[in-house]
Amino acid sequence: MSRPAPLEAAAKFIKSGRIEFYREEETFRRSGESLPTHKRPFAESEYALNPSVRGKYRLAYITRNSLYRIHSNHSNNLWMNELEDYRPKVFLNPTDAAERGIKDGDLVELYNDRGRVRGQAVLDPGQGPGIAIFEQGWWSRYLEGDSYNALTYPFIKPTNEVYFVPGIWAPNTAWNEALCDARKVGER
Amino acid sequence: MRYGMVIDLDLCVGCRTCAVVCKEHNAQAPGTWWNRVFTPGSKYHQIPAEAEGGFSMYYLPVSCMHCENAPCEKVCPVGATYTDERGRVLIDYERCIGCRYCLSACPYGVRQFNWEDPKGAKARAGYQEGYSYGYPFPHRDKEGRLVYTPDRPKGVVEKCTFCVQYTDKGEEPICVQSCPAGARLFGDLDDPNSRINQVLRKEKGERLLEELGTKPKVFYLPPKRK
Amino acid sequence: MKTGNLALGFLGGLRKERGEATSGMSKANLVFRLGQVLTVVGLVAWGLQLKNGLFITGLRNPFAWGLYIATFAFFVGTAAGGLIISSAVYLFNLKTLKPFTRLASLSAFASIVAATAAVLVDLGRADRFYQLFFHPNFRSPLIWDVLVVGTYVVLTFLSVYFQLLPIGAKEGGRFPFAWATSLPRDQVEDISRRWTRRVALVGLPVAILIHTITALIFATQASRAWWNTAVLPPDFIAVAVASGTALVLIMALFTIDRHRFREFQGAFRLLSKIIGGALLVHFFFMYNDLLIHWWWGKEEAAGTLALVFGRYLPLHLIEVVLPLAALLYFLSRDGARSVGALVLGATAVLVGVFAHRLLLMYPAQNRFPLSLALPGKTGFWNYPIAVGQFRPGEPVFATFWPYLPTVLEVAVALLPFGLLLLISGWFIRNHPFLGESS
Repeated sequence: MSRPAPLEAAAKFIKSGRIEFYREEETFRRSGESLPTHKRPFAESEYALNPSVRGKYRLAYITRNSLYRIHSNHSNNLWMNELEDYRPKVFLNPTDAAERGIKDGDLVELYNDRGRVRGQAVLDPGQGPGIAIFEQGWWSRYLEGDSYNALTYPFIKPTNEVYFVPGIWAPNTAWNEALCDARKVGER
Repeated sequence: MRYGMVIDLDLCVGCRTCAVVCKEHNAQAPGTWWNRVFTPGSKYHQIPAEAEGGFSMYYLPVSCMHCENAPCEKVCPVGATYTDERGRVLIDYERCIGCRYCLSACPYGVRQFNWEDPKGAKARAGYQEGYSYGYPFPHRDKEGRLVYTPDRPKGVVEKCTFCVQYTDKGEEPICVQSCPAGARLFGDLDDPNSRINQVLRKEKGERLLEELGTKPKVFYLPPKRK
Repeated sequence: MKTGNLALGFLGGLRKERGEATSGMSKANLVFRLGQVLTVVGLVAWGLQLKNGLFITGLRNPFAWGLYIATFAFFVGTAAGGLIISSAVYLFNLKTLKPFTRLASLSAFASIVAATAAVLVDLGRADRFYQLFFHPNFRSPLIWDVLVVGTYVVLTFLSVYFQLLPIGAKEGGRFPFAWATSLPRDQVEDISRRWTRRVALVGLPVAILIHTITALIFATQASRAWWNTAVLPPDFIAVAVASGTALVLIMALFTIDRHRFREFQGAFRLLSKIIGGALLVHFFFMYNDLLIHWWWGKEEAAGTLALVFGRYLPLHLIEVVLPLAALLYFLSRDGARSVGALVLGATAVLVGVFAHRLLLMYPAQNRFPLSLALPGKTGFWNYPIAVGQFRPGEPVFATFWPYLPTVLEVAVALLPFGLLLLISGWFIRNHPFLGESS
């Protein structure tokens, strides 16, 4: 069960003892995040790293949790594999797929300058456009030796580095801050 | 006594916990599933299906319906499939001749055949030496018929028994015990005060393929929004 | 290992006797030998199946009945020939067919034994066959089928036996005929005639029952749209008359000497007309049924028809075009003029009927009863069924099963064919089976 962080641990950075919407640490002020704010996706990550990818890769790469695993645990559990047909899947909005000539069930590749991962195309009309979803945790033995994390880049948000309280406030990779595109590589 | 089940499809979250615990507790070999949960009309679980005027997404768990007018029981040439005194449709694993007439007759596709020795399938799955799963003891009915055993003989049919090994002890079937959403209710259809009868008096329970007249003892409370 | 020795024994026998068989009975001997080989192949394959389970077939949970049951239905059909022809001779006094009654009874006996073998190899637990007698469930059409098929095995055997009795008694009276040698010849003839007639009279209703009840195994299943039709039992009888007669025709053509063809040409013409007529009735039944389903347009029926005229169209074409071509051919002037033409036509009928029996399985099994019609589409969504096999890397839940018999399964299915050839070859080799033309 998930519980709130213990008060004494949180007290290190929540000085008022309450929920704080305003932060005045130097890093927050410099990033313009003293108050909650919306920032355009990829502006400070992918586009800052390499401006040429703007327009080249048009899908946000999301690696979500799967119903059938706890991260990568149970990746080799054959009952779980049976429940998901032993098939890593790439979830796409039908419009994005149609633009790329991808049909339901095709073998597709998500790729960017850093790497690639392959899976069976699943067209989900309930999924927003501009997003490609891959379920995290598949071992590379199911991915022709590829890794879904080959596409991500270890972007770390500066505000994450202000404090170091393990498990509560610590630097972590912004996994979903990655661009990719999709292409069909085969039929199933 | 007539055991029955009510499944509230508005509560079902499609997590498939029932299917997995069923497989575990009833020691089903790889490739065999007594209990299944799918998204009707969709090729993939938990992906919306095209429906009249848009999309629909709800989850439909299906295992044995324990029909009152069970075609599987009627077609069985040797009476290996029978309905016991508590209304459970059971299979005598020592009498079944493996003709698979019941697989053709069952409208719900719940019957599973042992195409090979389940021990062989489990061995090929590469489990650790000495590992086994499921309720470990054979279970017989009052007349001594073998209605549960962890490794069914090769060449016989098997299916959901309403967890006969547990319900005989007064426990609920494992899918009911384990459902995290509390979507499954189990009880006696002959007892007017049982919880399932209380629910069925309040809400109209529907049964799958009702038009065939099989009279299942598993009722569904249909989703209010599909 | 026993089967291995048996096989060697048979092959040894084949080698030894090859030189002797030169004339007259040589064709029958060849058939007998072929039957031996197929039987041994079938038995060995069946042994492998018993050891490993039905796993070795192409069948799985979503598609539980296939080649074996189709073969069973096929041989139940061809088993009709015998008693239908002998009954026709006795009941309707069709003298032209009289020379073929013995042969027809033999074809029925061999076919029904083959049918029994076909259903036996389909059992997952053939070792528990005795349960059928200890715990029969009389609500199951299958138990009735066991009863009538069993009765038919006995009746057809008796029919063959009593027709052979006078010859058997005359030829020294070995084992089953020994008791008749001491009797006067007239009396033996009389016993033969009387009992053959009695068996035929009991046999005709049983012959009708084997098709009716075999059809009822399928037709009672309200959950399978493809089977659930009252036209199935009469259609089974029509198909049986066509295929049973076709088998008798082939066996007759095979047994006669070529130069005696003209002598029996009238009978052959009559047989081919019976086949043609039965086929017409069969097509009439079948298409009436399809038409009714199509006209009403119920979603389940539409899904089934989509399978018949879509994915399984090639099989449907075989079941229709081949017999139809044979039918037109038989009715044409040249159709009954030569042995080759008649054999070709009858074979086309049998192949077509076999395709028809296979097609009995496909659209029934691959349209799961628990399915949803998809809005605005011709297709349907089958609620997935676990296939029942551990197959790493491959999906376990199937909404469709592309059933194809495996090589080993085909080998097992050779057993009934082998027995048919073995039995008919043996009898024809050892006994005169063709009566005198009238």
